[in-house]
Amino acid sequence: MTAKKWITVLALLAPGVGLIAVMIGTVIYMAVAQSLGYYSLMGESEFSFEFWDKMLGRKAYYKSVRFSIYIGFFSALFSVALAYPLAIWLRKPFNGSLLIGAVLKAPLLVPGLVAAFLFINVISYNGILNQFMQWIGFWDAPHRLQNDRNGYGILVLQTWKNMPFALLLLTGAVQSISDDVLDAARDLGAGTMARFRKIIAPLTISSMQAALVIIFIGAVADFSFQVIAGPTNRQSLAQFMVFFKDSGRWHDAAVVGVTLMAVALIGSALLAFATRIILKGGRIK
Amino acid sequence: MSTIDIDRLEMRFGNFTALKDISVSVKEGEFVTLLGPSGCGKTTLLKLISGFLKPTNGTIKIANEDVTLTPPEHRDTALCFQSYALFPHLTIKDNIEFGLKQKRVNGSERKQRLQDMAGQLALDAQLDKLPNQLSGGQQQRVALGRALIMRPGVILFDEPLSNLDAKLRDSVRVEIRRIQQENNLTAVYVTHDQSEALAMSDRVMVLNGGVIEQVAPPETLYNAPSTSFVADFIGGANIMNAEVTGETEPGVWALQTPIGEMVSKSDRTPAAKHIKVCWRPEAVKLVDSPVNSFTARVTERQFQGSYTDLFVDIGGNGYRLKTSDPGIYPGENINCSIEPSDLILLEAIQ
Repeated sequence: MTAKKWITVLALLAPGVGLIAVMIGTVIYMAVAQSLGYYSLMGESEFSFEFWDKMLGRKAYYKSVRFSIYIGFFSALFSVALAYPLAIWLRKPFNGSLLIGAVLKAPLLVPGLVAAFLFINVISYNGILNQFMQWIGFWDAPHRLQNDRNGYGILVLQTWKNMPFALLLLTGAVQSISDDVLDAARDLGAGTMARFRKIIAPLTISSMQAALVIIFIGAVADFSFQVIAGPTNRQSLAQFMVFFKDSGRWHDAAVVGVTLMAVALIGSALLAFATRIILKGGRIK
Repeated sequence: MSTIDIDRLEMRFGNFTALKDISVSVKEGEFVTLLGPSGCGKTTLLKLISGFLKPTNGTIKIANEDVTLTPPEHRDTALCFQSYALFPHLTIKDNIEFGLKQKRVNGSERKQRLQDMAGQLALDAQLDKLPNQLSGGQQQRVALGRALIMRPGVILFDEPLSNLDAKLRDSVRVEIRRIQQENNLTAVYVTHDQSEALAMSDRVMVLNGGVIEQVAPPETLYNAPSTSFVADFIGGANIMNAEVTGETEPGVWALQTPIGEMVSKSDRTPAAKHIKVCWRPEAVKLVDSPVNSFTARVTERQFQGSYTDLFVDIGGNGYRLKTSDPGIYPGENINCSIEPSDLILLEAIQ
C-alpha cells in the first residue's frame, strides 16, 4: 500500500478507533501514572515505586487479587457451562421455545444491584429459602447464608446475571451448525458428549471465548454484588480500590486499578488461549 | 456384509403419512436405489434405515438383527450426506479418521486404513488440508472415504452427486459403484435422477406418495414398468387408455385404443377390462406392419444429435416418437408400427 492509501485508511478509522484509543489510552495512562506517583491530588507529584512497594507488601492485596480472579474465573465458567446445554436445547424451535428463550434472557434486564438485594432477601436468616428448607424438613433451624466466606452467593448472582449473555452469544453460534454435520458425527459413532466436545464446542469456540472473556472481565471487576452479597472477610479488587479512594489514597487506588486492568487483560488472554488449546489441541488456525 | 429387511414400515408426521406399508429386502452386496419425485418419502426411508428417524410402525432388520429402535451411532451403517457434512474445523485426515477414533480402533490399524482409503480415493495429497480447501468432487470423495473407512455393513447415500457438475457427476458415479462392488457393500442410494438410478443400480425402488410403485432391476423397470407412474417417471412413455377385447392366443391380448386396434404380447394378465397401456418413443418403427400400425402427422421436430424427437398427432391425441432418421419434418404423415411385445400393459383405470 502506498503512503497515501495508508493515510486514507487511518483517516477513515480515526473517528471510531481513534476515539476508543484516546479514551482507553487516557484512562490507562492516568492510572499507571498515578500509581507511579504522578498526578497527586494531595501532595507533590514525583516518580516513585513507593505505592507499589507498599501495596505488594500487603496480605489483603494478594487476597483481593486471588478472590477477584476466583470470582471472575468461576462466574465465566459456570455461566458458559449453563448456557451451552440451553443453547443446544433451544437450537431448534419448538412450541414455547420463544417464551423459554425470553424468560431465560430476562436477567439481562434486571439491574445488578436490584438482583443482589432480591438475592439477599431470599437467602437472609428469615428469608424464603430458610423458611422453605425448614418447612420441607431439611433444616431444623435457619442457616446463615448471607455474605458467605467463599463468595458462593456472588457466584450464584454472577452466573444468574451473565448466563443469559452467554446464551445470547452461544445460541446463534450453535444454530449455525448444520444438522447434517451433527448427524454425520452421530452416524460415525459419536454420542452426546463426543458430539459436544468434538463438533459443537470447536465450531462455536469464538462465541465461547467471547462469552468467557467478557463475563470474566465483568466479574473480576465486580463491585455491586460484592458490596451487598460478598464475604466480609475479603474484598474484591474493585472494592479494595474504592476503599483507598474513599480514604483519599489516590495513588494506592491507582495501584489497585492498574492491577485490576492487568488481571483482566492477562486473565482473559489466558482464558481465551486455554479454551483454544483444550478444544483444538493447540491448533490456532 | 449385511442384508436389510424392511417389513410393513410406516412413518407418519402428525396427520401426514410419509411412508405407508413399505416392505422390501436388500441382499448382501446389492446396490438398491430409491427413486422418486421430491416428497415421495425416499429420504425419510433412508433416515429410517440409518436410525435418524423412528418409524410409526413396522420393523427394520440389518444382518437379521432388529435395529428399528437402535440409535444411528450404534448401527452398522454409514451415511453419505447430500451436503457431504464434512467437519469444517478438522483436516481431511481427521475427518476420515473420526469414526475410527469413536470406535477406539488402535493407532496402527487406523493409520493403515487411512493410507488404504486415501490411496483408493486419490486423497493422499489432501490429508492435511481443511475441507474448504478442496473442490466439490474432492469433498465428495472425503465424505465417501469417511463412510467407507468404517467398513460398514450397509452404506447409505443421500443424493450424493446432486451438488456436482454434470461431468464430475459421471466420474464420481462410476467411482462409487466401483468402490461398492470392490468392497461388496450393501448399498442404498437415494436419488431423483432416473439416469443415475438406471446406470448404477442392481435394483431400483420407485416410490410415489410414500408407497412403493415397483422394485425391479433397471432393465425390467424400463422395459416392463408395472404402473403408468413408473412408465412416465423412468424415461419417456406414451400412455393411453385401452379396453381389453380378448386373448387371441396365450399371452397375446387384443386391445381397443385411441390409435386403433392393437395387440400386446405380455406375460402379465391384464388387471381389468379397462387398463392403461404404454409404449416407449423409441419402440416405434417407421414402417408399415400387419399389426399395431398407424399413421401419424408430425407436428413438431427436435433434432437431438444422435436421434430426433418427433411430436405427432394421432386421431387428435399427441404422442412422442424417437427416430434416427433426421429427414422428417412437421406436416408430413408417417406410417408407424409397434411390436406387440413393446406395448406394455399397465394398471387398471381407476
